[in-house]
Amino acid sequence: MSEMQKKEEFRTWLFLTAVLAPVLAVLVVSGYGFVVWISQIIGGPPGS
Amino acid sequence: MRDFLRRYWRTLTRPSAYYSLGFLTIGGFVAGVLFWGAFNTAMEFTNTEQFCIACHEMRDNVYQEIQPTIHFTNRSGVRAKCSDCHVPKDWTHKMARKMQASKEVWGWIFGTISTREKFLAKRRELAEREWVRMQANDSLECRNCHEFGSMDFTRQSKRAAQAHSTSLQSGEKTCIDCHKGIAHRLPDMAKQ
Repeated sequence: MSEMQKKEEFRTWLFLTAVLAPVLAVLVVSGYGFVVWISQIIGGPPGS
Repeated sequence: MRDFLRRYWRTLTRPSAYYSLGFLTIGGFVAGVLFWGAFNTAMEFTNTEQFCIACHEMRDNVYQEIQPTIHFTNRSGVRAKCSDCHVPKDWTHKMARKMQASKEVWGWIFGTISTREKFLAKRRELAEREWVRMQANDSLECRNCHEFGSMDFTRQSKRAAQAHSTSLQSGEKTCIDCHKGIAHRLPDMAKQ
């Protein structure tokens, strides 16, 4: 039980830090980029 | 599968029994630092000339054209690379431009400008887009290097000094209004 739980805790941590968080970060940043791009398509290029 | 998910969900939502708060916090912090470093490295790589001219569309057309211009070869060896003029420096606009590049990936996959002929046919549209962009942001990418306040009109040609001291100074015109086709050849402007 305890060895098993330790393994599961480590795997969960590794998945969060190495997979989930980076993927979410990239998705959020690219999503933000797309939103800004779409707003530029509608409202014209920045500064106009 | 449901059992598997439930088990890991429980591990996720409960305090760790085997790993200290110190390890988890510092470990997460270090992973964050590594991620941000990798992210920026990748982002900077997409700003390099080497990256731009990896595709023949850029290498065989616009890259060939800039080489004899003053922005590539000159007496002092200071020069502009693709991203200096075509990628905004401001973070938000840079991210937007990087996402906009997905359209360029699309064009690359479907060969939108895969031949010289296709490129020449499309070049007016591509150039107009950059001109509109620079007219809107008051030629920001020019001004990243060229500072109006440091221009010495006495060292400019009469015609340049005349234009810069009037229309440019008053803000009525911006760099790109006159300086089109200086780094790449002009499109065929005759046809509509």
